[in-house]
Amino acid sequence: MTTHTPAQNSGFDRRTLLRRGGLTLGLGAFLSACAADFGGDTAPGRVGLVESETMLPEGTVNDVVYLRTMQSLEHSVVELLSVLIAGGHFTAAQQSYIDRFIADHVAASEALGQHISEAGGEPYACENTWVRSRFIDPVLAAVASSDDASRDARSSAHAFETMLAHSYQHLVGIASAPAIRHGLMSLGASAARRSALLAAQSSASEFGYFGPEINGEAVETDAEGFPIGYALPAVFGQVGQIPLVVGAVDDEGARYSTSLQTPAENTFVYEYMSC
Amino acid sequence: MTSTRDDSPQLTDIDLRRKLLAGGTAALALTMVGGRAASAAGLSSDELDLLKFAQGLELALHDLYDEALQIDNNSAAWTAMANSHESFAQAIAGLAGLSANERNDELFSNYRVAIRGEDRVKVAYDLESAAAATHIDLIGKLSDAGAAEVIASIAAAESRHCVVLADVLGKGNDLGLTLTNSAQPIEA
Repeated sequence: MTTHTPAQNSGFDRRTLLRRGGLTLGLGAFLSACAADFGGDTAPGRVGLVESETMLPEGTVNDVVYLRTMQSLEHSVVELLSVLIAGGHFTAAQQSYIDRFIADHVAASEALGQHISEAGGEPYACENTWVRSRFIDPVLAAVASSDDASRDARSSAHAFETMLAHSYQHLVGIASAPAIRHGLMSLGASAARRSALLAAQSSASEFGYFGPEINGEAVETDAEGFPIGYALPAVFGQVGQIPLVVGAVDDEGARYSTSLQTPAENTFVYEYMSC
Repeated sequence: MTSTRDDSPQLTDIDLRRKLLAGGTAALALTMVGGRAASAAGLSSDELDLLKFAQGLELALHDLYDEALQIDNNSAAWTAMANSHESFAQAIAGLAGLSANERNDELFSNYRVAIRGEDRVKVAYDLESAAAATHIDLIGKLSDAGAAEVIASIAAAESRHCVVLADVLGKGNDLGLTLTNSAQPIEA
């Protein structure tokens, strides 16, 4: 006959452990809440020697920022056209007005620099780094490996001149000072003329001067899928995106495409930025 | 398809088709100018006078192109220009709360004979240049950003008109004509 022997109580079973642990935490929280404030740093502790995060300067958007941004965009277009010229992508006939465009952009930058100084700001006579990395570098890379670099150089010049025209007009609507709006639109009208000239030279004989948006019709592309530039794309001056397709057809049957835009917070050249 | 590079103010068939439809889309085009809601509210009486002058200029241009249309019947170029300037006058009417019914008679009278003459495309070029210069000048006098925005959209379009007219004149490669606006603003 066997005798049942009750299990020895160790005094530290799982249930006891949970009970005592909870009691300890609760008591700790109670004592912490009641404790006196002895001061000291309350920030989370840091481990290692890495520098703490650097906060960006606060960027105020004002008329000087608009002017500095447009000055940087003028230089960006000069950079683009200069590389396209160096690559020999323009015909002799095109070269004559591209040279004139560059002279106009340099003059525009000087005029903007004067407006900036008069408004109490620091001129920014260098290209826009954001536009360089997001638009100009990819476009130049696509043109360099294109099946028709001359076509793409002309399309790129048209798209960027149109971007300038749209940008000046857009900023007129958000700038504060009438004198600055006047200065912006004086340059914007010149940009609109350059854009119209390129469109008239390249596509008017085939597609006409007037774009389909004038009548609310859908935007068209040519037989190969390239956007068509019109000397007069709409009844009123526009501020929308400018589609650009350049480069050779890739393995997936597509070319590099992008949409140029008017300046926004990520494109602005704030007053804390320098060349 | 009609050539766009000759001395005639005729444009392509595509242009003609589009311009015949253009009048009905003026209001739509205005909504594409921008998101800012501009109205007569907030405009000073001086600014309203300036806008009224700009509107009278646009209506005079519209009527002058109608005169040219009597010489070149069904010209797509003149139809396009006439419709555009009517749209501009309507845009200013919407902006300033002004009825679009009072043209600048002095301007109309000064150019009525010329716009019917042999050099009418060059006359049109000169008028567009002067109109663009006038509107750019006006932008510097308007305190209301919404009003400036609408006038800027008109000035941009008129600057493009100049290039089209220079090209129609056969002078698309004349960079002085296409890229430089040497016109003075028309004084109010």
